[in-house]
Amino acid sequence: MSKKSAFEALKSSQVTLLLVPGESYNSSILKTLKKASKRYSKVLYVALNRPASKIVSEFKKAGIDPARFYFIDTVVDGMKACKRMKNCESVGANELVELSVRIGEVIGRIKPDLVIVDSFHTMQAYQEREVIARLAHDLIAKIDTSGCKGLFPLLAADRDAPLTKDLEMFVDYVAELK
Amino acid sequence: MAAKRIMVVDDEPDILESVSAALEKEGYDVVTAGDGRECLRKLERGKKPDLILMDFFMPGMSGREAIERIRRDPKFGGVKIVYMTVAEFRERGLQSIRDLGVKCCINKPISVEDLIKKVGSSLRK
Repeated sequence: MSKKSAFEALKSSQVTLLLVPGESYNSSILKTLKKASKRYSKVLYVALNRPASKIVSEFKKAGIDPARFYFIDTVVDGMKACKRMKNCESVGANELVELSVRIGEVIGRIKPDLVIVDSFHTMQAYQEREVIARLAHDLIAKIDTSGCKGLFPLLAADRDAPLTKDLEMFVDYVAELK
Repeated sequence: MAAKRIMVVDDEPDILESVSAALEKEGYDVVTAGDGRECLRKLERGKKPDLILMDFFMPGMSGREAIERIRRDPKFGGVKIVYMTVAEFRERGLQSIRDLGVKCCINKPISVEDLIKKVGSSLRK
């Protein structure tokens, strides 16, 4: 699949799909983000799996500066905490048009160097694959226009899932964390 | 000589209607399918088309998945396929399209002139 490390892939490609082993999903992403946060000063993190407040506390433990991140939180449990955070806004996970518009608006406003969506596959619980693929396609067009980078982590176990195969059509590189 | 048979696969009824009308006007024999699954069902049951015009974004089964299934089935060997989509593929996606023997892409919104030209040249290849 990939001979480059996730971080090398991120440096050399504009949009990267990152396959992450399920048993070490959070810790592996944290390691990649720790490196990324030294290189990228503004990161937009679209949180679909876990509330932004929880991600921030994990960042602090891992020595990652959360001030470099801006969050769009779609996790219901995190909405109250998100409202108390300066660098966070919430959107209902099933409001896809609103989510797409908000991501575009935030990209235009904060001009991030990197956009992370964690992860599109979570949306499959309540959205059609076609709708998620369209959202990813639209987001990649916004990433192209803004000139920033995109990183889309997903479970390595989903590597052969139809949604992964559809997303592969729109990304520059597929990297796999070991 | 029998008219060339074209299957148009798209989940948008307006696209199916307008593309079919444009192709029929040129003398093609047109069949339609509303998604990838219906396309596969019609291929199994009906006469093999000479060319398939395939949308990418469709509910249930994407055009990519439908094309992969068609290519895996030797019964449909020789069927030419053209994408008809709003999707903008990157180099990686374009390579996988070439690997599956997809002839070209027609971008949406569809220009009738572009459609007729690309269908004609794909059928001649």
